[in-house]
Amino acid sequence: MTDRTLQLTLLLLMAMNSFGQHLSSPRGISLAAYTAATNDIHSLDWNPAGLIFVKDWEASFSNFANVNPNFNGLIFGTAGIAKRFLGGHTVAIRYADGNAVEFIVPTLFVLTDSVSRLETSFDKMISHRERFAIGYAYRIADNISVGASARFREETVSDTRYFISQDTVTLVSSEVIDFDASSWLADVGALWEVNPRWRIGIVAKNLLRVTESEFSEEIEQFGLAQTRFARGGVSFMPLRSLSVALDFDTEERAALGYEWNLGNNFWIRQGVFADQNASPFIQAVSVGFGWSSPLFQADLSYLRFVDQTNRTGAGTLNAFTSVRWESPDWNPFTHDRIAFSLKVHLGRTHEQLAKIEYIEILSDVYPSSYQVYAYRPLGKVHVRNISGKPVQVKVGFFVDRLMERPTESKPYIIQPGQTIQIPFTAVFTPAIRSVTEMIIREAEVFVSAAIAGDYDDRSQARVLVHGRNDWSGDVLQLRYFVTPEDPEVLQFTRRKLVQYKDLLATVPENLQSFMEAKILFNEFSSRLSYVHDPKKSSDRVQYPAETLDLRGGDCDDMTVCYSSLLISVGIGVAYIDVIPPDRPQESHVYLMFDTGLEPQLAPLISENPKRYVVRKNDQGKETVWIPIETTESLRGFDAAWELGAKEYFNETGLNPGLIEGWVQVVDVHTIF
Amino acid sequence: MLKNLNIALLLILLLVTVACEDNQPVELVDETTGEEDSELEVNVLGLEADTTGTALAADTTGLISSESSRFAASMIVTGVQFDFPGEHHEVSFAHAIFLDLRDPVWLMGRVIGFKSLDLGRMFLDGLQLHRTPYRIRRNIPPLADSLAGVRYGLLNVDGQGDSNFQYVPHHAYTWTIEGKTRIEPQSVLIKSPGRVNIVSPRPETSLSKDHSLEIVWTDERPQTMIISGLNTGTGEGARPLLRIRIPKRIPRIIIPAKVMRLLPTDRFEMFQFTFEASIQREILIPGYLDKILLRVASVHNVLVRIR
Repeated sequence: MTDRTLQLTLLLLMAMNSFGQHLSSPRGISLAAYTAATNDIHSLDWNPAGLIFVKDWEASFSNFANVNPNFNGLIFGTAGIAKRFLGGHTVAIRYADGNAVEFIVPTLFVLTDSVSRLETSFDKMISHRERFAIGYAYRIADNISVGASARFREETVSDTRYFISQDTVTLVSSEVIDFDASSWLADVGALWEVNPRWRIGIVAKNLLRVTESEFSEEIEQFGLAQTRFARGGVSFMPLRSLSVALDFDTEERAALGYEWNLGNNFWIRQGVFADQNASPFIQAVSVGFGWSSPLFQADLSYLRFVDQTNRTGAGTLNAFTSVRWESPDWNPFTHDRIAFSLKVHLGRTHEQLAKIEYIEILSDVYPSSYQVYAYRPLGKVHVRNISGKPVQVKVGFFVDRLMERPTESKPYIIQPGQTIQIPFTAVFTPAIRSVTEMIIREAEVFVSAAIAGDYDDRSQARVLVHGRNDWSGDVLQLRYFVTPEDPEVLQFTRRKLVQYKDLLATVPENLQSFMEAKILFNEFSSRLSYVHDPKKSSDRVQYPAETLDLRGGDCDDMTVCYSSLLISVGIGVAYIDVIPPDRPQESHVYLMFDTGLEPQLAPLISENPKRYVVRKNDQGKETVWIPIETTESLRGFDAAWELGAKEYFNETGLNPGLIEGWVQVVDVHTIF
Repeated sequence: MLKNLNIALLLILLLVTVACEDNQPVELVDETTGEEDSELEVNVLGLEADTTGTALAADTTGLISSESSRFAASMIVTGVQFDFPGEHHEVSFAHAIFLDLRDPVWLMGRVIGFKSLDLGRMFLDGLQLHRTPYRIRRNIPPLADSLAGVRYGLLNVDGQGDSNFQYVPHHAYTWTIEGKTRIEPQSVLIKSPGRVNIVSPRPETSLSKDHSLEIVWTDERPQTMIISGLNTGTGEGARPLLRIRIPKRIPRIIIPAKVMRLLPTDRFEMFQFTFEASIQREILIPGYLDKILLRVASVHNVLVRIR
């Protein structure tokens, strides 16, 4: 339903007349219309579906004082406790000693007999109570709740009866006879949270009745009515700090009120009650204040009736018997009232402030580059603020067995009703490299709001975790397969360099790196053969140890392995990633290494400037780099150099690969 | 958290302890019964006998009031209406008697009464009262009455009898005593009350003891009301059951159902409601040693059925 539709509905409803009739909640009194806005244990009266908003354990106490000339102090109102469990269920029980009214009809005559004068304290004493109430609410959908409550109604009429006994003298005596009636009255209600700004509630009052005992016809007129009626209500937030509520019922009663957040968790409320079938039409007005904290909520209300007839502690019997009314606390004799309540939130579950709209996974997980997910978002969570106030939200992410603990995003402030995207990252453990086959793991995404630190919502999303050798095809990711500290790599390089130590001893110092690279390449290539991937070449990359062990690999494997060997002896390496725009199928990777030679000494290794590249190394110093096409490993270092230099010249000299971006040179060392 | 819980417990304790008052009951006043201070005084008479010794019968004439038993002499004028089903009667009485408390009548060693004095002729507004013998009933055998002197009276029943004598409301009656022996001639005045005229209940009305009964009158407010039980055809007089003192300054009264329920409808066929308004005073006349009751009353009797 759109806001406009709801606004029209509201206008139509305002043409009707109605009011609310419960005085158990100071917030409800001051707001007047509480059927849709109810959210605490007093939902037992207003709309039992509202119990669903109880946070874990909730204890509530209330007192009130009658405001009339015979002010007689504070009167105990209600005490109740509610518990939410399994997320979508709430139960509540309440004792309401103050939900009672008592009438006394004085004796209007004095009986005397031949002996004495008979004194009686009253003619009738009538009391109505609804002290016990229980309720249950259930969330049947994300935004729809239903509930039921039952109130135990007790009614007593104590009637003074007179008797004449006649012996030698005539004597008159009296006796008080009690008549009792009791029953359970059940209400059923529902709440629909249309969106964060609109909420609609409906309740069927006194829908079911289970009678334990009832009055005889003789005194039936003194009992409360048990009218079945339905009441509807809407609440609307036109502003972030303002909510307006309206109630209406089938008895042509209505109530209208607003609640305004003044800031610092301080609220002011006002309401008005009307009845089409009563005079005056406006029955009462109310005002109230509220203050809340994560643990407490305190509310104060003042209710003032427009017509004070019968509301000052005395009334007429005619007023009592001429109108049937059905509530012990709201009736033609109810006094003006000041009410106070204290609500205590116990337990760990807090009010849901934020909600996950949906989760967007930005990429699969490649174990080879697992470190990158620590700072590069793996996905985004679309989070909506479903509370009535700004909240601070963090998002957590966790994949069991692949992460030690959940990650947590930085805090984001979300305004009421607003939805934002919050990226999340993942810190995987090295154990992720033990994933050999492609698997799907359940990942958990958490949203926590405000300071509670608890999860406001929890959902699951599937992330694809690739095998340890899987590669996305991105050359940047290829760096993560380079393992210069792998024992097998180190063992290989140390053994070979020791083997050629006599040769190396004859090489000038500034050509040491060049010579070491050449030795390692020749040794490396002499024991390897070029083979294609078992799958698509861009999908699978061997770790260097695997390549050395298997004695073969494709260009990716060779490049990764050779670069690992070079880096393990301190030679800088960069990858040259080529993706020809008109021939993407010919994409390939080769490398260049840093000889350490200053550019003016380049002729020591080649007179041909096309055979080398002058670029800055990781210290920012310009040195001579030599391109190597590792797929030419079978033909030896010089052939691989020549081919590498030729490719590089073609791609960057004859063609503007670097300028146009289809050639990238990526320093491998930058990730270490 | 623990600190907050302690604060919560403290506040709850405070809330519970300060709310120690009870919600006071609402007092419901039955406006239909009249003014707030119009509490009815109901005297249950039961078997109480009247002063005449005529046994358990109600005084429907206003002549024998409980007051008159306190006086040795009385001069009384009454105007009485009787409303029975299908019948209406109006009776005017005038009665005077002067007992000599120093001249008792003895029987079997007991005083059964006193002789009355002869004061010569008596007049009421110039009409001479009849002199009739005053007899004292002897309740033990032989049941012959004892002649004990003289008494005076006038009687008009539905215009018959002393046709010149009528009860007149708001009228100043003049009693004139001719005087004899030691009693000197005297003349005294007394004003009559207005006529008590009950318009509800009417004798045609069938009443229920389970409902309150509204009593409505015109002209003079009755001061008392006596409800008597009556069984026709038995020869017994009406038995007084309840006497109700009617509060001042009210235009009507409601007899609550709880009072009506006290009436033994199983024992009596009909009930007679006797309403009376009276003016009286005490006087002394030279030669007579005791106080004399001077009284004028208007009485209305209504006979109804109550189920």
